[in-house]
Amino acid sequence: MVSVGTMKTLFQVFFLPHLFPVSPEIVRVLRMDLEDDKAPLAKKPAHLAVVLAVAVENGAQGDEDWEAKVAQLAQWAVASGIRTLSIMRNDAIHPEALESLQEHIDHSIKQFYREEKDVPGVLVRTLTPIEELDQQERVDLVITDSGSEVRKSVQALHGGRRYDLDVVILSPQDGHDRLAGHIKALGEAALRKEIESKDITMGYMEKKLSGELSEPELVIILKDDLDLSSYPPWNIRLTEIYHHPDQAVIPLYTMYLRALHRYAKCDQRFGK
Amino acid sequence: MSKLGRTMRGIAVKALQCGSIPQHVGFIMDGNRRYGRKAQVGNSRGYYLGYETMEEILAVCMELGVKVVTVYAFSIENFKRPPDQVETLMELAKMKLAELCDQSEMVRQYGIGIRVLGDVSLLPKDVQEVVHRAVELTKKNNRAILNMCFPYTSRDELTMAARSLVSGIEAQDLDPSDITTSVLENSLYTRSCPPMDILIRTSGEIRLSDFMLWQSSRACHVEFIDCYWPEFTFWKLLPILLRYQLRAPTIAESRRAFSEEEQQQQTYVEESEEYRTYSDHKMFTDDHNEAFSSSTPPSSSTPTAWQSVLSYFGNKSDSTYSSACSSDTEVETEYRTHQRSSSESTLTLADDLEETEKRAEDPALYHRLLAEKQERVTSFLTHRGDLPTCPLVQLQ
Repeated sequence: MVSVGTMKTLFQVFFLPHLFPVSPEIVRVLRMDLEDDKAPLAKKPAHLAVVLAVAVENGAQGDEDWEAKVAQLAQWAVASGIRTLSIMRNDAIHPEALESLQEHIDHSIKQFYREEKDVPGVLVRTLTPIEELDQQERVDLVITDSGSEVRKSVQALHGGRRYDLDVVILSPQDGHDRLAGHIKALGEAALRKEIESKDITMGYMEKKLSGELSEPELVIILKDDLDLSSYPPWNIRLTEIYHHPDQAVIPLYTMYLRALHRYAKCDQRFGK
Repeated sequence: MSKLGRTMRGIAVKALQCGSIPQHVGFIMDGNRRYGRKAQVGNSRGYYLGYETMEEILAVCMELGVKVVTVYAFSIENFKRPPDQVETLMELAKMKLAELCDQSEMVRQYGIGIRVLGDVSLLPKDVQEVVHRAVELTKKNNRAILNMCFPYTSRDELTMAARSLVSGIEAQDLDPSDITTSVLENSLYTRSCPPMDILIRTSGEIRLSDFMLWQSSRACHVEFIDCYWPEFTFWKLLPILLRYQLRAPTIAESRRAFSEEEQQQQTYVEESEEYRTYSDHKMFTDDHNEAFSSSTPPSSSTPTAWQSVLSYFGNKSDSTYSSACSSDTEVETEYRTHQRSSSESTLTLADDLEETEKRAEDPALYHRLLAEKQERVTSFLTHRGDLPTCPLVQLQ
């Protein structure tokens, strides 16, 4: 359930009108969200994915808008206890833009939590290129086997910085092309006699492909038409896909809350 | 169906055919058991009704001109269901597959080739026999394809493809640099099908459940519809098709962008390696594109992955490239040794490039290397990477 701390943050979110767009819709959803004690959220995603394209036609303004939206999503994600937030862009992000995004998010989180003692840390990253990943893995994977330990090694890579939310920025090349790239790397490893083709099982692939990006429980498609925009195919196996057709008329926040509610209601039978 | 209903449907189909018709439609036929419970007819009756719906929807799709219909009949995970339910499904599949390939008027009329996608070895022996027979009997049909995913999961498919490609590398049939997005795409079960245009899931669930993850996650229109599969009719399909037609141009546009991007990526040289200046790089790119376009037969539409594999076949038959390759065996062997030793570098077209430069920028050699690469990939995909229950076919 929503903890008292989260509750407090949520209230802060809604009653700071200069930071958040207030519309009757948000107030309505907020009431529904907070007063509905009989049916609280049954579960919350640990990894939320959002497909959010940059409006290329608006030039620099498009990039700024995108950054602002990501910062806002990061605030809400931290407030609702989400651990990983992956954002699917429609093009690759420039390293400088990544830095400025990190600054923007740090700033907005500081603003958001200025009443509190602990300001949560947010780490913004992209996926490591496969060639580097391979070298890194040769060091790490020998010692670590379980998913959590692989995570730790990823964390160590970023200078051991403590973070509560892991923001991963994805581009279309991180989807299908990256999967092909992974198989190519496997092929090279096979040539070096490090692996054999019979070792390639679903478990092996899972370890390789989910180490750096876990499977999201929920993906929100912020797009007029529903498609998955090259989100890494391996990782969306059981992901709940939330999409609302009339995107233009619904505020982002409402969409976010509705998606969480929809996820809380879903019932997965895993084939049974 | 009443006569009026049929007439109306005929009119609607004609109207839809004025717009673009999807080439490949996927269905997750979910909700048969829940429908059976809702209508109080029991699970097995639910499955049976589900099958009838599938047949009806298949007929509609064929009438519309859809080339490939892919249905999720049974997931590998479904083996976890109670044994009697699994048994019922197996019996139904056995009966209906035999019926489809032996007596079905529809299969004959539309020239449908039946493919069974998935790890067939998990099925009981008798069902396996029926599957092989159905595929064998209809493998010559090349006007349309019905893909039955049985027992299938997409992760299993991707693992299978990865294993087969890596085993090809082990056997020295392939080079790691040959593995590109389109080659991987062509090692999947859906390799002789055009890319998926629409994916429809019934029963109101909003996830893919391990179905066609690769095929449906880029440039594919996804729809979740809140009715059980046996309740799904042409009239529920109609608005989906209309929505698809509205966005079909953007889907085609993004596919074009993907194939262009892949060609570019093949020629991409990492800046950190500082092989050359930008202008050289550009010259190389032009070179490469030229090579590419000269080696594929001129086709009016975009060279999507499946088309390029089929165009590889074209090359193979006219054998100009293979003779060109074998005439210069010395170069070939040198090239091969170079390839093998350079396991460090991952972007191997850069190696080709280096090689080309060493030989005083000889474009003819470069073309030969490229042709050889294509030859290698094609022969792998047709021979070693062959999938028994999904024979390759060139759709009309």
